[in-house]
Amino acid sequence: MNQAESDNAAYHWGMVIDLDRCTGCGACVVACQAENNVPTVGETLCSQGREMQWIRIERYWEGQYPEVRARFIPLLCQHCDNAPCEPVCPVYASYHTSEGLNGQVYNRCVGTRYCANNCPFSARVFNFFEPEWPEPLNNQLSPDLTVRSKGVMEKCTFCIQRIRRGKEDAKLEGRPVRDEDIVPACAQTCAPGAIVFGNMADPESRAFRLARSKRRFRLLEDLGTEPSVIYLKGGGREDD
Amino acid sequence: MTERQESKQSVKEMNAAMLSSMEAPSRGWLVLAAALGAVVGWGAYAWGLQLVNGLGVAGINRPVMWGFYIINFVFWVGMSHSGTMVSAILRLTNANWRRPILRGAEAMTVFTITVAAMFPLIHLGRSWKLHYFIPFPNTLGLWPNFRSPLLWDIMAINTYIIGSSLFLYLGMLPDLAVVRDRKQGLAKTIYSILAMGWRGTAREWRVYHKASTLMAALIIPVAVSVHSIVSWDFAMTLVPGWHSTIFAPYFVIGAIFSGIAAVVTLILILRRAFQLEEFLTPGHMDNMGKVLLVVSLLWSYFYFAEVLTTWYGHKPIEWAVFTFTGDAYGFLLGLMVVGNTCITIPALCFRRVRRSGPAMLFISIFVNIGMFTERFLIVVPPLAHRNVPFMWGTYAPTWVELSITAAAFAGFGLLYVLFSRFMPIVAISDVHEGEALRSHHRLGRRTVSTMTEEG
Amino acid sequence: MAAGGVLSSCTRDAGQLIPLLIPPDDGSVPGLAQFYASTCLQCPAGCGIHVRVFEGRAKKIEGNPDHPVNRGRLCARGQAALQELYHPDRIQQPFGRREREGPAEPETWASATDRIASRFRELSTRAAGNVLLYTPPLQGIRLELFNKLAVAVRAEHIQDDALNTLVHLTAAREVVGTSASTDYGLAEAQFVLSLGADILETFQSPVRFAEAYGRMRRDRPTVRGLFIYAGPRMSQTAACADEWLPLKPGTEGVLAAGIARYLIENRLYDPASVVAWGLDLESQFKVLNRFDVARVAEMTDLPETRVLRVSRDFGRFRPAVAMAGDGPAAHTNGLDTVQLSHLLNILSGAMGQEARVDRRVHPGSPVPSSVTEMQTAIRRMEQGEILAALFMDVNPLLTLPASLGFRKALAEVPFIISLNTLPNEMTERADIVLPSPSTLERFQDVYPVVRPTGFQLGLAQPVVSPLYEMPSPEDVLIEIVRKVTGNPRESSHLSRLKDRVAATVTDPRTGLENEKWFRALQQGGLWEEQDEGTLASPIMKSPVPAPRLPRFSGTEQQFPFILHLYVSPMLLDGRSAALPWLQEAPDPMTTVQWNSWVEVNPGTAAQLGLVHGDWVEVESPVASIALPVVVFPAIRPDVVAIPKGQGGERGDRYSRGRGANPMVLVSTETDPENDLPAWGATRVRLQKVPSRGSLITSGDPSGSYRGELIGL
Ligand SMILES: Nc1nc2c(c(=O)[nH]1)N[C@H]1C(S)=C(S)[C@@H](COP(=O)(O)OP(=O)(O)OC[C@H]3O[C@@H](n4cnc5c(=O)[nH]c(N)nc54)[C@H](O)[C@@H]3O)O[C@H]1N2
Ligand code: SF4
Ligand code: SF4
Ligand code: SF4
Ligand code: SF4
Ligand code: SF4
Repeated sequence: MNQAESDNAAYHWGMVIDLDRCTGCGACVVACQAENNVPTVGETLCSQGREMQWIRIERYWEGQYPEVRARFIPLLCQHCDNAPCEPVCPVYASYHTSEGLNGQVYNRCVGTRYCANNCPFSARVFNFFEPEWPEPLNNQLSPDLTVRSKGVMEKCTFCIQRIRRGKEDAKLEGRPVRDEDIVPACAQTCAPGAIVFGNMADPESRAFRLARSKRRFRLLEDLGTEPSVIYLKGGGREDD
Repeated sequence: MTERQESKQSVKEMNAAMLSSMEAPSRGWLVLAAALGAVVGWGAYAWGLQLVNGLGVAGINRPVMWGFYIINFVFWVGMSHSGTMVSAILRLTNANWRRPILRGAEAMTVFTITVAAMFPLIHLGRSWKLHYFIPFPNTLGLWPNFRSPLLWDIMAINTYIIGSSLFLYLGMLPDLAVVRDRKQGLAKTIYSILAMGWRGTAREWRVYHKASTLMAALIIPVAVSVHSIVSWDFAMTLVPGWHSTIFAPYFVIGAIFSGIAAVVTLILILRRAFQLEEFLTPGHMDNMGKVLLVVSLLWSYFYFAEVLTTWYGHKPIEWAVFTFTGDAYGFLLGLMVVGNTCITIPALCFRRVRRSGPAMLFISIFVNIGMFTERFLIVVPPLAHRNVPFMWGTYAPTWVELSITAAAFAGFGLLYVLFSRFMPIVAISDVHEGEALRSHHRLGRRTVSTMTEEG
Repeated sequence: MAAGGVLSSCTRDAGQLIPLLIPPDDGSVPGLAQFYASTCLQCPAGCGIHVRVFEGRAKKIEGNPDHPVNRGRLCARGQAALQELYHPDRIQQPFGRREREGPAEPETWASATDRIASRFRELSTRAAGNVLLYTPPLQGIRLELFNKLAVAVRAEHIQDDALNTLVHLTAAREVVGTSASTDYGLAEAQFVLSLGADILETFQSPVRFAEAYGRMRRDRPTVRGLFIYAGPRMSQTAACADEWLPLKPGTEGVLAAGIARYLIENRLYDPASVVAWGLDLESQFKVLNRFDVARVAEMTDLPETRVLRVSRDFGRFRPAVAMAGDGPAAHTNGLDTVQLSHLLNILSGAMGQEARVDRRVHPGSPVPSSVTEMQTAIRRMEQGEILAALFMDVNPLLTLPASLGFRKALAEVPFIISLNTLPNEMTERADIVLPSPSTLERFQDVYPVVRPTGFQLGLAQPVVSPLYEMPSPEDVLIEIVRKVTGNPRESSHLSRLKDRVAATVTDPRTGLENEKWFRALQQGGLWEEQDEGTLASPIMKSPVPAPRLPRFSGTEQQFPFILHLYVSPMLLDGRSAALPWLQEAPDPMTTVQWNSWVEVNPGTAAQLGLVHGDWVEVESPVASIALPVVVFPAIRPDVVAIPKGQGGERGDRYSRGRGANPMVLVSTETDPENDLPAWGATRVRLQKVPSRGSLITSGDPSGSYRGELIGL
């Protein structure tokens, strides 16, 4: 561990998503697109599986009419501690940060798409074409992060620009990062408060406490990828 | 080496026959070369379009991020196991019937692996950043990631290209000298350089034999490792249907299978094209057919073992992949099993089939159709049905991928056609050596040929 | 590794930068983001927003955490409002057409407003009612100005209620004596019964309700509120419910009546509330006596056990809240259903507590036009009595039932003016097209449809310097009024707005008027922290009448399916269809992108030989459209559902020619006794037709049934 890493060991970013709160509304999907310069691709490319959204709401059906249920689960990069997308990347474009993030270096990526195959969550999206923002839509592009070019892999970063901003603000004010300082765009907009982001290395953080819930589970846990996203099971009548 | 008079033909005659392909190009040759060149050009155009517009012009998508380029890659690497490996094994085991086919097979390896090596490059989203794979000191202080099977791949493929090229070249040295002696002017200069001053002295032959044996011994593990590593591109992942310990030997067998089938196809074509019936006899076909039969049995066994464990284990996601393969790609599945097992095994049990040119041509081509299909079925369905069912999908190649695939076949053909024109396609010295070891004895009214074993 | 730096290199240490020699006049500081408070105008909910502005460009819209409507949260539409501002097809300047549907030629503001004013003046001197003003239901300054213009040119003003709030306003007036939307305090409830109210997606104030829903579910350590949804189709809201009751369309009121009867019979009501609201239990019971559990079960087509359970639970849990939504409200008996939902709240004691009807008078409360008014206006258009019409922020060609005959009537109007930000059916037909600034470039006073107690007014303000120079619609109206009346002293929009802010209930904490204005700018509105408490003087019209049975257009033999139309969670009634983020965002229930579709029960689909993605002709007694089929496991077999929002023919590049507009299928059924629209009362039949294109879903149709593979 180098100096920078030991400085940072105080942070391990994680997320708790409460499926009992999530209403499947999709606001997080659009918020993420707005925050992270994620392009739309249009009807044709959507039909070919080339959407670029970094978070999606999966809707599963269970049972048959009339005893049918729909379940929503927001799916984004799980920032696996043991991320299978990382070792397979031949150029270290997919790498692990000392704060528990799965980082993606766009400039380094050569576009083998190996990481995407090895991500069991299908969380990674690929720039099959150069993204387009017809003028003046490009005015909306955030200067906090790049626009990715064709041939490059991308995915949820846990809004790394917000993490950095939160840490820098705290540093300027000479104080440690507070729990509420860093809120990713998806969590910020989520009306029922289904998404809670926080520092899992801090036992006082809300995310840490929620993650201890009896309802906790992680997706595809048996694969051993150690996701940093913890889900809380959705309800259902308790007297059923 | 001494030449015996028992040889059926004079040395000169034999040389002339074996080097007939290097005569002035015929019209047919020119037409063929031009046609193949046109297909390659079309493929290059398709690739150019992909470079300019992005990989979206191919059929890949989420979840099927790998498609025809990787299928081609695996297929062509498999084909490359034909030559060098076959030739090395035959050399090491002193199978004397090998001699006329060695050169063709070895050249085939070099060309197939060259074609194969193009595919990872075409496959990249940013082909122009290929140098990021190369370990060189740079301002970023970054090395490539040696943990990635893709990096192993790059290294294995490079090793194999270098190794098999050397193998081919080494074997050609004496023949290049023969060609040199027959040429005039500029051509003579070029072949002189290529022949590296070969004179055919006893010492040279001794060193040559040692080197050949050594190369043959070395190239086998390389060949095995290459296809093992290719298999690990898949097996090292978490993808259900890929993550399997059997993959390395299964891939190697598959590679040998498609390689040998390709050699058979090639021999039959060469035999016809250059009137080499004299040297490539039904006996050779018979031998190759037996090898093919064994490998087909092995491949079928591996496939059975793989399917059996999936079925018996019935792990939900693996089974979902399997049933999906049956539902969506049932025809391809059938095609593969028919091509690789159902036709091949029963047919090759018959000596008459093995000795029949048309039958062998049909079987060998069918095996490679089956093997191409097998590669498709390995790459696509597991990706299409990965762990998260909401993101399941399908894949079909676009005209760009099909064009580039066609260009790969044409490119291979073109390289071969050029090679046969400029290089000795039959291993002359090896054949002479074989002839030398063969003596004809009269037994009553029949002449029986016997072989003396090499020392 | 320095890779993190590649991803983000934003620092906010402005102290090191060289200060601007000549500061830019938009107040932006290079390298430093600024936040402006404003109000989302994408729907009538009026959520508070903060817009992140960087070097003069709006970059991101975020919820205003201090705003009492949405508490810092936003829906997908609110997020996407940026794309309206920067939409590539925005109308940038006034246009005029010499002939209908002819080419649009650029025109100056002066000449455009001159032409409008002189035409209006000339027509109004001839006779009253020559001019039609057509807008959504308006409030505040906009209403004031339209009233002024209507008086000045003796015009008729139609306030087209595309989202159908009129039923709710009428029901509230009938039951508790005030025409206002109800604010449901879900967070405190233990039991919530939604009668087709899609509170989490489109109903009235979805962000407010969804935020409260989250707290209802999981903010209380020992209580998890229960949520039951009754309706013929599982909406996104219904998908979140603990139990979905797939009842027959239009029988939601029957269920409510049954529950009410059960509560009275079993003395499960709140006696204090009954007394406080003056409910005569005896006569109420008499009115509802027919609706015993068995009969309700039969009428609604629900199992008796489930009717019984929901009735018992509604009596058992406290607080228990009931609400009726737009689906049931769109039947011929819609008013009954909404009224009965209020009755349930009175019985449970939630009325005035968790179900708060705002009784304060707000400046210019909305008065949507009745069906008769709309029909009359359309008839007059058709008969050539309307000689000029001004349309603002509406698209009746898309949102009105085609059977009302609006399209034909419009062709008879010789002079059409359309005011809009983006091109649509109306702007493409208008003789004069006036652009409006996007919602992020203009001032507006906003009165959220559901107002928390203590809320005064919401303020929308420009957050960037306008992309294209143009006056606000208010200033355009003022200009027209000035020119029509010849009175140059009409005060400007901004000064009116300041007056309005100054006139809001005085907040004890503020002294100076100006300070209030700045506070409104800073907060994006004015509200008081203090909760106003419960409502004054509860009175109600007792008893609430029994539900009538719904009527439908078309016979069951000829048209076997009831057409269930719903407002798209992403595109609403089409007003958000121009925004690519929303077109590409998968519909929550079907995950369809960039298209519209018809939902068919799997059993029905099997009978008709339909599979996912097949195309059908949906035929009603009045028209037919072709749509791809989504085999939808959570819809009644006798119902087919189509989302509104698509089917625009002439608009911007993203919505044009996409999907089909189901409003063409709707027969104009009404509730004639109450003069209310009933646009959910049409029957249809399906006919398989050859495919006309592909249906895109973000989720794999077969994988969508395999949630068990990821442990769901
Ligand atoms: N390819 C290429 N590159 C070059 C050169 C070249 O010839 N070719 N020339 C080089 C030379 S000689 C130079 S001087 C540099 C110039 O490079 P820069 O110094 O980057 O010059 P400008 O592009 O003019 O950018 C000046 C910025 O300052 C802002 N600005 C304007 N007025 C003020 C003010 O009062 N205060 C502040 N804080 N900002 C203000 C403007 O909006 C603008 O964004 O470029 C160098 N780079
Ligand atoms: S914004 Fe929240 S409630 Fe809506 S889909 Fe996302 S996580 Fe679920
Ligand atoms: S979810 Fe996928 S992309 Fe994200 S860290 Fe895990 S394996 Fe990598
Ligand atoms: S696509 Fe990019 S990030 Fe992914 S493995 Fe290849 S080079 Fe690495
Ligand atoms: S954390 Fe940020 S990047 Fe990741 S899904 Fe949420 S908004 Fe997108
Ligand atoms: S509910 Fe309406 S006002 Fe609120 S954010 Fe969504 S669109 Fe805007």
